[in-house]
Amino acid sequence: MGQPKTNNKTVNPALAAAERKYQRGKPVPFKKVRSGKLRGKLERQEEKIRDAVQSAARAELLLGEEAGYLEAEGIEKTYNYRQDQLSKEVDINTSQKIFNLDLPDHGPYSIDYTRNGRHLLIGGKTGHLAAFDWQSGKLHFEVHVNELVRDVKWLHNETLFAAAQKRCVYIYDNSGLEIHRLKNHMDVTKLEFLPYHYLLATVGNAGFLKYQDTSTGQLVSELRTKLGSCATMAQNPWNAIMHLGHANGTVSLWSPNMSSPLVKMQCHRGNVQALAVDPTGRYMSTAGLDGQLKVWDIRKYEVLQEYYTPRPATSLSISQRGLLGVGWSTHVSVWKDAFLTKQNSPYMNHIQPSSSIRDIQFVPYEDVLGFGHAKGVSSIVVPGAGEPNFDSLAANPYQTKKQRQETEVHSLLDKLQPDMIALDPTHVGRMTRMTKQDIIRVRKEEKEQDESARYQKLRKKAKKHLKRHENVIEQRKVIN
Amino acid sequence: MPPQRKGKNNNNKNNNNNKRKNKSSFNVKDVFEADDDDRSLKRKGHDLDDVDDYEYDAEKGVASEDDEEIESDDAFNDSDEERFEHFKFSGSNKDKKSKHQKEDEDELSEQEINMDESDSEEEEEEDGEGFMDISTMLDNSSDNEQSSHKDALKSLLQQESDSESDDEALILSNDDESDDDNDAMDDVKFIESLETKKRKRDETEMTKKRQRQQERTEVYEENEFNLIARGTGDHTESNKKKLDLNDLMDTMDNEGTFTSMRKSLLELDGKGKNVVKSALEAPAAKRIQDRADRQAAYQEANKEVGRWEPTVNEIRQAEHLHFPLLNQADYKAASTKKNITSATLASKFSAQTTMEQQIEQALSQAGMKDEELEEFEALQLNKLSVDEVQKRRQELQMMRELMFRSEIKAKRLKKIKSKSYRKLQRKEKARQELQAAGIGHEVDHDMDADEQMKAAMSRAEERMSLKHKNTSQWAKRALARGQQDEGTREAILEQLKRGEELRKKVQGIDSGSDSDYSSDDDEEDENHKDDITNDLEKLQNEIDEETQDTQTKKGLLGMKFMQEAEKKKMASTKAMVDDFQTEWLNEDQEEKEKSETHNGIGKSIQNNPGRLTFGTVKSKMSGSSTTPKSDIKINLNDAGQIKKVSHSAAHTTRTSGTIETKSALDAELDDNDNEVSPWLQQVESRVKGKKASKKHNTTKGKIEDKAELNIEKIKKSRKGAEEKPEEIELDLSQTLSMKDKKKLTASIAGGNTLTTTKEEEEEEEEKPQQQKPLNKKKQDISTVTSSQLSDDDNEDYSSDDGMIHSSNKMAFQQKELVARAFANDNVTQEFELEKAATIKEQGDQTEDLTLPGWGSWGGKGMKKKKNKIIKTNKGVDPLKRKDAKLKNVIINEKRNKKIERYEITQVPFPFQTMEQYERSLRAPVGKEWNTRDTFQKVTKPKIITKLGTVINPLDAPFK
Repeated sequence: MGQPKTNNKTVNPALAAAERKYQRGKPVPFKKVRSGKLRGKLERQEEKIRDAVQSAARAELLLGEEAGYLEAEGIEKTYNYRQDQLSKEVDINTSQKIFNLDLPDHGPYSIDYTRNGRHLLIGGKTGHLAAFDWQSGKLHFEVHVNELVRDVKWLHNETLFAAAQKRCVYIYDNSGLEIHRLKNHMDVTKLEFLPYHYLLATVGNAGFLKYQDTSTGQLVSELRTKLGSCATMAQNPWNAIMHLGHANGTVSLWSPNMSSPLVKMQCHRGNVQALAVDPTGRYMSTAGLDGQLKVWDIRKYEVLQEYYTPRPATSLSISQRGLLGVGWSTHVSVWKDAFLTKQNSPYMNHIQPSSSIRDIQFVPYEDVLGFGHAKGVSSIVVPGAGEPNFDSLAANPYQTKKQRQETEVHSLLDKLQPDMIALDPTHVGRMTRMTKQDIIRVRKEEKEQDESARYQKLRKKAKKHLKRHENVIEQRKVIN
Repeated sequence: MPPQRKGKNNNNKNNNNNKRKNKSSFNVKDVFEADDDDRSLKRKGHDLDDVDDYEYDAEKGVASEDDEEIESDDAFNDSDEERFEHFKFSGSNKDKKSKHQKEDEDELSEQEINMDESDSEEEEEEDGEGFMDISTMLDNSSDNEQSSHKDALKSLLQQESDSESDDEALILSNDDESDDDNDAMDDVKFIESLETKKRKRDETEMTKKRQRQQERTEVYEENEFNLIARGTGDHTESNKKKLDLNDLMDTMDNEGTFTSMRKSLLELDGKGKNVVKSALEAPAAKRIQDRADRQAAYQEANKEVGRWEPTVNEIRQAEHLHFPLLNQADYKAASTKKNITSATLASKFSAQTTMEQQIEQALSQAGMKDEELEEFEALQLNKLSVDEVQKRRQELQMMRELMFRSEIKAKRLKKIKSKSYRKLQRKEKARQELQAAGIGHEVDHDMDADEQMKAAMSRAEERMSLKHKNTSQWAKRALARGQQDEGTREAILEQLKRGEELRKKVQGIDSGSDSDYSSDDDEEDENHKDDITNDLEKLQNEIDEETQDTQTKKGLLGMKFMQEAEKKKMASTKAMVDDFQTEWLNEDQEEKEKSETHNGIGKSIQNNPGRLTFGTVKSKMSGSSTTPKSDIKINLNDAGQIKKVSHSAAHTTRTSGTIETKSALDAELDDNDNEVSPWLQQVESRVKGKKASKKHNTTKGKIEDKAELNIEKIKKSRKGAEEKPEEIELDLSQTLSMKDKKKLTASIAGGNTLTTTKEEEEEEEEKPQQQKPLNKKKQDISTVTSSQLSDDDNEDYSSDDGMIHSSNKMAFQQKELVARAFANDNVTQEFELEKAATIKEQGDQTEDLTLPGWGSWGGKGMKKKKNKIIKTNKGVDPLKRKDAKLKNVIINEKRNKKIERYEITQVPFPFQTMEQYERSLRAPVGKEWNTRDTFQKVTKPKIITKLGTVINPLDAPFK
């Protein structure tokens, strides 16, 4: 047995680093466990975990692509590079990703990419809806709904999408056919979709956050924010918590299971204009009407960096590799390492002449940033934005129709319940942190409450009955 | 009791049946046994209550006479016999035997009787006990019985009817033979024979009879078979009466011919010398025997089962089981497969592919094959003689031994923790090293001295640098303790001070000026130069003085040769000083010339004549010169706005000065009209800012002197560079002290601007409401307006003025602006209030449970109740809240009920602690997080069966 052990010692520093990455906490100390059965079990389990870590680290060898950034030489600055300069230098495929759709008639556009970054959905304010495979340029559909469109969002894949229109939210399929009208969702300004829970979250001028299960069609929960109209929403992809930005400068965090916000943060002095959450769920970036852009550590709810933007930012987006995109007036600026250190200058800049930016979004698995603006939709290349190696179990940009159907079934089988959404998603299966007395007390209270509620119901019923029959003269009563 | 009895009777019957089987000789007479049964039953029924006494409590006051009355047969009936068969009564062997005999006899007699009885069964029953005692008992006993032993009889009757039905079948065969005629005669006979038994039927009767019979000495006929010892209930007593060998031997004399016989008899009794084993001991009671058997069997079975144990354990502990189970050979193969090592592989290796074969061939050709090498070594060994080999081996052994010892010694030494020992050790080592070095360099003594010097220097250096730096143990401890008393603090400070001094000493005064020199400050530079020249002068003076002083010296120093030597020395130093001075002065001169040449436009950067700087000159000038050199003209229009700013051509830096004054005023103005809505104000200022920028352009246009155009251009760029810092200075003043701003700005701007500020102040007084938004380009006030508004004027933007970090100096402006813009929004206050409310809501809740008015008087002068019943519902402690330290965050502490469904309240079985359990969950199992290999390994089922194969039970697993 000595032989394999010596082999296990990884001399390769890259491999060791990779192993460290996959290590999930310290191993359980099992040597002092008395029970032989348990000791054996723990030992075997630790061995399994170790093997898993090792094999995962070794499998990194298969990730062929490497990420890179734009690098400037001498006194050149990366933020001075323009897209037309870049397109000359990059390969043809990449240069084709720089485009501008000139759609001056249908107002500012909101956009959305599918999770595999393949399909683009655009919604013009005046009602222009279109979806296409933006890389091949294949148009799925194009319709005009003749109604105000505030936001658009793909659902779990490119076959369905939701559009927040003047009154209700509508769900269309990828041929532009209206499938559902969600009349519960009134006056919606912002849409979000939680792919692992199949929940469509909407928030609107009424200040209600509503969750609709798109697999069963049920309205899961309706939460009253009590903070008025809301037009800023982002999801935390790590724990499926919804972040809402409000007019009084607060950002509130919501789960469908609690009627009150889990966390409320005073982020700005003016209206919160834009919000974005890092894919790892660690950082949040907010922009307010007070002209500030802040970077937060949402594990500690502390502000990391504060910046002043020349104009209040209207849209924020964080790429898979942690680039922060800021859309303000006609500019799009991209910041590198914005969550780690204070930055003095942006990584890249782009100006969309005389067309204010409405909605920006980094494309997953691509070094591309797309944005909708007043006069159309544009796409620019931002080197180092996307994850170079895609995971086909998470999202496959090159999936076939069959694969799409297969993943749809699988994801439906693996669907998570809305009850599971909490600030710390690792709570599932964990030991409760309540003491025994607490548990007993809580159960007792619950029982009492249930009973009292039942009685109340009965009493209410009786009261109702009496009231209804107040003016009724019954024969048997008269006789008596 | 009845069911018990019934059982007993049944037993009885069964026993009889058994007996029947056993005694084949009586098989023929079985027919009549029923009768016997009946009678015994009747007897039993008769003395229901006393049975127990008879059987077990014999010693309990039953007179020996009474005993004699009861026949052993009767008292110790069949069932008892059966039960006590295994009990060994002392001297009961004989009894048993005799009893059996008696029984047989009885049976024989009964047989006869029964034969006679023939059909009288029913009669007997119908008549009850009447049959037994015709004369007296019919009238008496039947009544008595019915009264006293009613229930007993009932059960008996039932029993009898049962047995009757059984026996009837048997009797049937004899029924025909029997004659009615004989009945009467038989009856009489029977009664006679039963005379003894009769008595027992009726107790009262019996006692009477007993008394009567007491006179008789023997109950039974005296004959050789009926010895006295037989048939008594009390065994101990009977033992006494029993004849013993001793009894017999007592009669014998000790002398004569009987000795041998006596001896033999004694031996028989187990008392003599050569004890002959008496007769076989009776086997142990069945119960005990059985127990022993069971134990033995258990052990045996245990052994048998134990052989399965390893196999069962293996299966139980196996992570995965394949069914059908692999046989042993497969197991072995599987286990060896795991331990594939290079050695095992190499041993089995045989060249198969062409390349392998080629390599092997090549190796064999070169004689490098393993076997050949081994052979070679063996040959080498062969050459050596036995002695040599032994010697070598001994040597090796010795070496090994030594190595082992030294290793052990090293280990022991390593364990020593004593500091002093270590110190000594170190010293020893150092000395040895020195010695070793000494041996090497014995010849070169100088070198050694040098090295010593070096060591001393390094030591001194170390001392200087480390000491007085709070690195001593005492200082560290004192610092760690935190609060020091006055004395210690002072001591530490003293030490630090001393350290500082020493460091200065070591580095010399030069270092201080050095650092100054490195900064581009020319003033300092000049001071330094002055210092040097002063020093030189001083030195020269000293030399001069010394030369003059030589005459006054006396003694040894006054001697001529000494003075001459002194003079020589002095002359040389003087020459050196002069040399230095001339050199120094030359350099100074050169520099001056250079600075003069560049004074007009700018100063060349050191070592780079191609580049000119302008800022440094200015700063130098402003610092050193006190007289105003600027000619700035600021023309103000009626509105108080600056119409025109013109500069004199020669001076490059004054523009910034004007801006300072202006913005200072601006700030003051802001201060004045604080009440004005910030929104309005900013919009206004923004608009004005535009105008101002336009005006600025016009001033540009008014520069007429074309010759100076280039210089002007340079100035412009210079101004652009200067603007930022100037503004910041101003902003600082704005934010810091609003009251004495004027003074501050004045001091910043310098005396040269004082005049202009005065002028402006006058203007200001006239139009206090006006603002001078010159140069507002940087202050982008429109940030607070909505994005729609901002879309209008895009022209103002250049790509490089993007976001500014809040720690940046520029951000002060923005911060100020934002603060002013949102001054009326008490958002933070509201938030704080909300937080306070939630803390209160989620904190402890008190509830007054006292009934109002209960137990207290109402009306005037009512006292407040003291004993209040207050219930507190425990909430979250405000200090322990997650957001206790976060000012701008409210974290909800409410319980999420839905989450609890996914949490467990107890640690699941094999785990003992929460940690063990939760850590076991840390590694995900799904294929999204694992490689395919790991995923399959982790999700492999515990039991794998092969479809379509028969799974046999485990066969003998004995390995």
